[in-house]
Parts: sequence; structure tokens; C-alpha cells
Amino acid sequence: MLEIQEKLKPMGLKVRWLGDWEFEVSVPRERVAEVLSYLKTMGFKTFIHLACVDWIDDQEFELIYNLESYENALQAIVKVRIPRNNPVMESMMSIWGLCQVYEREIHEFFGIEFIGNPNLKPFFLENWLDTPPLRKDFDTLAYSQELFEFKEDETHGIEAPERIE
Amino acid sequence: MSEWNDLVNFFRGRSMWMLHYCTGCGAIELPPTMTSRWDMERFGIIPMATPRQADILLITGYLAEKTLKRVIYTYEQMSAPKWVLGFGSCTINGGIYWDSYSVIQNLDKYIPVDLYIAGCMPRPEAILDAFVKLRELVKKGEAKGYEKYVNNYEWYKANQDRLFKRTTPVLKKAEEVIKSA
Repeated sequence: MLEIQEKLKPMGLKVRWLGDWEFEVSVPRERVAEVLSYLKTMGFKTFIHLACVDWIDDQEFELIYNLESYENALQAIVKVRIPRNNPVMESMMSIWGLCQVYEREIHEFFGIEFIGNPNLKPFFLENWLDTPPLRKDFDTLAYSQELFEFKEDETHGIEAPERIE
Repeated sequence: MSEWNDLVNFFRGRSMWMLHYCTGCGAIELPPTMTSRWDMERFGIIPMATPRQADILLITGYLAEKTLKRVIYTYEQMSAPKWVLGFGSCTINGGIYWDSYSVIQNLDKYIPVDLYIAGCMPRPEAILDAFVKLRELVKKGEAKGYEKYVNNYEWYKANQDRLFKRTTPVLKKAEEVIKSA
């Protein structure tokens, strides 16, 4: 643990430990590639996952890069926030080619543009023309009632449950 | 002629081959139904690998829009007579995915369903019960979903096209939402 902290100090990064085997660092957007490639040289060779969170109250998207080091049995979480009204991010494909697939997925579900990713074609959704579905301002109930024409009398007398907000 | 039909239906009901195709979580109930504990082969039902040789299509649980398209391809490839069994609440009205953006809510709008099995998910006993009921329906000549599909093809096709060939957004345009944010 201390070793890692020492190594990250010259980068000027604040490390927050979530347990004995996991830590997170928050970085500004322009330093993501630098930090990720530095962590890769430190042994975090495996890219596990790229996730995204829509913080609609802050008007920001948060991208979360999960990395793992098998040698040191450690996981690193790198978080970066980008503005919601201009969701553009650099592709990390030059560090891990694997990012291509994750970025394509995030692009489809959150509408984030990844500069440098050659293939951001539709991935999972069929004929999608609406707001990206995992954005918080997308109303899934209204969408499904409109598209699938859900009617009370077609439920054989069973009422739809109350919506949990 | 009706005696001949009765005879044919009797045999049809006793050798129904199901398409080995699983969509949702209900597929997990099929291995115990197939294998020695419940052993559905007692009823003449065996899994079959290709749609052209199969008689029953099991929709085992929720269907996303993307899967529905493949299910329709598969259903149309099967040769008549063919029957569709809907598993669980998802095929009836969406079940727990009642407000989902990707899971369809009423399977009967897109392909004709002969029999629904209630439950989330139905136990193997319920599945066997459904097979027996389907056999009775087939024997009586009442399971005519495939004829319904041919006779009302325009209606089914219009419902399918509403999903697959839509050219305008269902809600507001994506650009407008992004601009207003």
C-alpha cells in the first residue's frame, strides 16, 4: 500500500483506499491518458471495465476506469468527470485496445463521443432513435407505454405496480 | 375427413419436438424438465436443434426488441403445424420489466401464443402441466395459433414494423433533449 502511495506521489494524485486491495484516484480529463499509462507501467496491466455514471444534478458524466494488477493483487479505479452538455472524451484505445468495445457501449447508452474510436456504431439496441436510454432524463416508463402501447385492459385486471421513485 | 384430422391430431400431440432455443431466465427451468428428474421425453417432447424440424417454440421469459426480431425469423422458418408457449409473466405483460425501454410487453401482439404458463419462473411441474394441456388442445384441434398468424398477418406485421421499421423517435428527439439539458 505504502509503496503504491510513494509511487503515485510524484504524479500529484490523491489516493483514496477503499480496502486492502482497492484504491481510487480522481483525475481531471486532460490527465486521464497520462495517469492510465503510468498505472499500466506500475503493473496495472489488466483493463477490467469502463463504466459511466450520469450525475444529472451536477450536470456531469463520470467515467470510471477499473484496472487490475495480478502481481500485486490490487485494483485501481480511475475516475474522471466530463461536462454533460458537451460529452466528449478521448479514446483510450492506444493504451488498451479492449477499450474499443466498452467505449462503443458507453457511446450507445450515454451518448458520449469518444475521439479516436473508429467504430461507434449501434451495438445492443435495435433501431434506436431516442435519447440514449441510460441517461437520467430519459423516461423509460413513458417510452415503453408509448412504443409497446401498454393498456390497463390488456393486463387481465392486474394493475401496474406503483412506480418507485 | 374429420376422422382423419382427429387421427392426425392425436399423433401430432404425441410427438411434439421443441426448438432448443432459450431467450430469458426461464431457460434454467428446462434442463431439469428435460433430464431424468422430470423427463419430458415421456410425453414425446424432445429438444430439436433446427427450427425447420421443430413443432413447439418456447419463449422462455423476457424478450428484448433485438431478440424478438430473431424469434420472428425463427417462428416463420418453422413449418406448420407449430405452437408457441409463453413462459412466465414477462411474455404476458412485461412482468418485472413493465417499464423497460427494451423488453417488449405483450408477446401476443407479435406472434400468436397458444398457451401461457404463469409464474416467475414456472417450475418444471408447471411446464409439464402446460405440455399436457397443449397436447389436449392439439388433440382437440384447438391450438390454431399458426393459422391465426397467417390469417391476420397484416395485423401482426404492422405491430412488428412498429418496432423494427420506425423512423421517428418514440419520445422527444434526442437532439432536443441534449440541447435543453
